[in-house]
Amino acid sequence: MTLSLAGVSYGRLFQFTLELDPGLHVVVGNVNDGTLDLLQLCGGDAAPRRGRVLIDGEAPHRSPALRRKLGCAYSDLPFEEKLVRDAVARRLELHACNVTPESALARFGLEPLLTRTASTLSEIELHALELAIALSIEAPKALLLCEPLAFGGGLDATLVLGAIRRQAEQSVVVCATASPRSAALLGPESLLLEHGRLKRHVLAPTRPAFTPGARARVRVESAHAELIAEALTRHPAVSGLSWQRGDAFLLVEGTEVEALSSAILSLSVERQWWISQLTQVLPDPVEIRATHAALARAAYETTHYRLHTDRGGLE
Amino acid sequence: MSSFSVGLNVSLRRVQHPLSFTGVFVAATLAVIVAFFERRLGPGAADRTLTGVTFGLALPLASLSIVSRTCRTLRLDNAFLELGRHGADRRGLAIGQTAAAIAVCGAIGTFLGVVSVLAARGVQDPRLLRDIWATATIGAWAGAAYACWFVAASSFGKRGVGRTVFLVLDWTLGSSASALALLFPRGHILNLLGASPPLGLAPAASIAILAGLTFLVLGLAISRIPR
Repeated sequence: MTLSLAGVSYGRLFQFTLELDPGLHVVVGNVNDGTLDLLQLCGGDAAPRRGRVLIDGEAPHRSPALRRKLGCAYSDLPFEEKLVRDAVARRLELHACNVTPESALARFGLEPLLTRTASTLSEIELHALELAIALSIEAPKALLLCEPLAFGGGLDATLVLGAIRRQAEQSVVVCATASPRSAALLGPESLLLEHGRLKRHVLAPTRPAFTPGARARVRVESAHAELIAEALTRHPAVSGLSWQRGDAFLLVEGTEVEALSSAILSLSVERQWWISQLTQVLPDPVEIRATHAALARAAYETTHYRLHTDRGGLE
Repeated sequence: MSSFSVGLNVSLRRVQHPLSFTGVFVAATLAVIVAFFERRLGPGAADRTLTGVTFGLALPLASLSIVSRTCRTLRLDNAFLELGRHGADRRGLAIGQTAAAIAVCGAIGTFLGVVSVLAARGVQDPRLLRDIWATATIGAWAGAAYACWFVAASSFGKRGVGRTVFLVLDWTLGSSASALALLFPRGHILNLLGASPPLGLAPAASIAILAGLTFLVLGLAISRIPR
């Protein structure tokens, strides 16, 4: 089972080619980069202007039978039924799911929403319900999820992550997110989408991987932030540090995330300065885009300079 | 659950909006007021009311509003985007939507026709019952035809702006006695009501042309929707 896009042009995507096998695929980018266009094409909302989209050999915009086997949670449109229960039941029935709305939503702790009227649902609750419906489909061919970890409405992130990973064992799961942090939580690999083009395949979601040239950055929360900061200034893995008097956290920079984490944890165990939280600081999409624009510009200038000097040498 | 029944059910639910009922009430009130004025002017009040305000203005506008509501003021192929995403056949949904629009617009046509005749003739008129029956039948056909044409026109233009363009064309070209009037429901409906027929067509021929054209454009519009 594969999901393939061959030379597709639609919305912000231009001559876009991608082939995905079963597994979890995280696409990092925002709506302006074409993440929503990508999901809409794969979900069969629209046909591409040019190129071909196939899931398991079928075009999703032409095959209702295929769409019944796709779980979609993106650009959530409001339910038109009066009660949430009726809306969920109808959608589960369309997907030929053998589960009741109660059992489908109980998995994610969303059953209190069933008694509500659809018009009272907030966007976040609606997204949580669409996610729950998508994750309730039995043996889906593909799951197409936008911001699968950005929700409220009582949905437990661990449960959602577990369900996504289970489905990814047999299906193609595409998760689009604008947050590198969510991407890191979802899986170790990410595809960077920028202005409708795939810019980079990131194998490990670290700051240097997303923004080449940047140093790894780790945020440490501890009651002993001052002491840790003082001790880390002399550590060889640490190349920069930021802490302000009175703060219970500090930002530590270095070339490698592993080396930084190891240094911090060793210090914590050795001196018994307990750390309440250790998180990697990832760049935001604006910073990623700026870095790539700078890299592209640098590559262009270098090539231009070389060509210019070569021509000068020949003359 | 078939896509047709889902489309029918959801479309009927979309129509159940206070604004729809208000629109029909305003259209009926307008028709009744005009009918009372026409009655004062002399004989032929029912004909003038029906060919003028009732089936010339109120019914097309009411049908446009109903079809726009069933399409959620979107293009026909986007009217059921969410349900299509869950695996419903979009053509089945559109056929269900058309069925709902036909039922509602047909009922509105019947209602508007009946109240107009009642107001124009008065309850004492000996030909009232026969005229009510004839007008109700024409009203039902006219409403159904407008529903189909507006659904078909919804598949053109951004956010289904083809609906409004079709209404303007129907008003301007449909009421003429030229061959162009054959292409629009208004000319045929006026013919059925006894007004001057386009190219001197017989009412039976008008019914046949109207039915044929309606099914043709509707079929073409639905075949344009990806499944």
